[in-house]
Amino acid sequence: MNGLVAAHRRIRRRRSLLVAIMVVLLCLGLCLDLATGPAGVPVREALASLLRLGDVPLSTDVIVWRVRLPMATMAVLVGAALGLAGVEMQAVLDNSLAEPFTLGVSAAAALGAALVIVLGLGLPGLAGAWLVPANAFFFSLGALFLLQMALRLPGADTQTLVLFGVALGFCAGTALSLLQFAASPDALQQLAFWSMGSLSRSDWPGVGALSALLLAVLPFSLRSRWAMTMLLLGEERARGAGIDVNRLRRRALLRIGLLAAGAVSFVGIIGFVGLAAPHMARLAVGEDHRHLVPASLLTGALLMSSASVVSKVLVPGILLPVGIVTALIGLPLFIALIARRGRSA
Amino acid sequence: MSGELLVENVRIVYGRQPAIDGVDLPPLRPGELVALAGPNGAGKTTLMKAIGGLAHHEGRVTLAGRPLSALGARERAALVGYMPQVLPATISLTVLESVILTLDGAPRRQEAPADVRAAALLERLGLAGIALKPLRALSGGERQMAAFAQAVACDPPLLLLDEPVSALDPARQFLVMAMARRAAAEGRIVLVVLHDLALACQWADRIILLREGRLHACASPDRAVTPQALRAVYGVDARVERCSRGRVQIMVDGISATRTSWTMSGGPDPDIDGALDVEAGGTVV
Repeated sequence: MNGLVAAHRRIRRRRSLLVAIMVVLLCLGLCLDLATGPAGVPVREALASLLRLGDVPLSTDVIVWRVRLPMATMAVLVGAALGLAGVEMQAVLDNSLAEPFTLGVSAAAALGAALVIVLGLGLPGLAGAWLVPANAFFFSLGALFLLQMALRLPGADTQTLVLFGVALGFCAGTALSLLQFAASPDALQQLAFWSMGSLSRSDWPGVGALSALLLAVLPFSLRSRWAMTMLLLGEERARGAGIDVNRLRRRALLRIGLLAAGAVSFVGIIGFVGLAAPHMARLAVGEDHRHLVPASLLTGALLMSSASVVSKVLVPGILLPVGIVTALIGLPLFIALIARRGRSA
Repeated sequence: MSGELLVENVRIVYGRQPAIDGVDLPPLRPGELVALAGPNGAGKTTLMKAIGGLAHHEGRVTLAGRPLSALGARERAALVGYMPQVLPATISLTVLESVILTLDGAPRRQEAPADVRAAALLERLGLAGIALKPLRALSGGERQMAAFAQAVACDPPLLLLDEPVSALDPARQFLVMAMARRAAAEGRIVLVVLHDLALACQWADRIILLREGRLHACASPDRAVTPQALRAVYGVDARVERCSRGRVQIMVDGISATRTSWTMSGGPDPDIDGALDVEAGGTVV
């Protein structure tokens, strides 16, 4: 018995250590992200500006504090939001192919953004930089509301939800195509750029809003880790353990929707992170959500941070949309991890 | 906590068809192992879920005088250990982790940490060898043993086991039934869905026979499993031969000519009739 307990505790310690290593790697990734960019600021100077050490040229301060830091922080926040939403979506739908945008949230957000960009139709009382993200967020919430309604239909299960979500995505996609058909070349270009997902629109108010959203959602995600892990043992087993599975699903879906809507509103559609981060984290720390949730959040942040660095250095002098780079970075890593798992199985 | 389980006038309706139609059971007492049997679609799992508070139902289910449906979900979960029929085959949690997880959800009554209690339980059940194996790497039988461990982990006074031996070889069937027997001997009420009536006769104190959502019998094995009961409940002509120590052998000679309904297909398949003519020497259920 002692041998079993010791072996189990060893595994848990190793998982905690891996989560700690992810935190360190993320800090390093953030520093690297701050130190890279088309402006060619030396690394030492960038770090000195960040830590307010010594005399740093004003231009460096502006680049670090007004451009690079909001972008780097936004990358971490968006990655964390997508990693967290992805792991919860896969548990809720009991489907390893699910990701935060599976149920049409991103398509709805794109439609909201397109209405502003193409027709100038947005939420009243808002103007300027906030109009596109606010409209995208509003439309994502609308999609989320419809999904919650679908879950309340008599006899609704996860399959109903997936079918409804896919149909919702198609509807939003069709409406978006119509708008694109009617759009001017200039609006079309803006829309295409928005859809690609880019960190270049990041600013401090956006960082503040997404931080607040993440901080509001995270405690609830952490609180439901036990129930979400029980759900992995099967719906009946979870019910037998006293979990109201329908309520758990509805609340998780609300969290996922808010995170996905927040992420997509500020940086556009970032594919792959919400799918790959949970899988990578799962391979590192297993399926118990008590380790998996922080690990997936950190992996998502790390993926986005790395993608942000690569987007700046891949083509010197040009900032590539980060949405393109996430797949370039994640895919080989993802395939390598799956191949390793296949060998060890 | 220990006390009688009372099931009174339980009724569950899906659509217009009652799946369970006013079932009353005689009181089930702590220390008893009771088998729940009946043909496919008779409502065994549905009744078990109703008893465990996992399905909405009319009527009353009380344990030691407390109505289970009036309790909070977590409070009820501490009283009822439920082992479902179907278990997921793809997750990578280890057997030990799955038991610890179950313990983590229960109100803490003991000082020992959950991992120590879980390891002790798995050793006691003879499952130490698979404790660190991921659930997805287990055979069907091992997975059922792991699910049994999860169900008994919180030491509930009522244990509901839905077909716990359906995927097991005879040795493991014996092991699981012996574990269920021991759980009953420790003062629990153990209700087990079983298709194998010979196994039910061997291990159960009483057998509940359900037919089309209604109670046909709840009696000791020698009174519940008779050729007349098999004809009425399963629609088969069968012989019941009693051996030593409560063991029985059931020989099915054919589908009863008096059978008026066929739940699965609406009428006996002529091919099945033909097959039964060939097998007329008798089939052991």
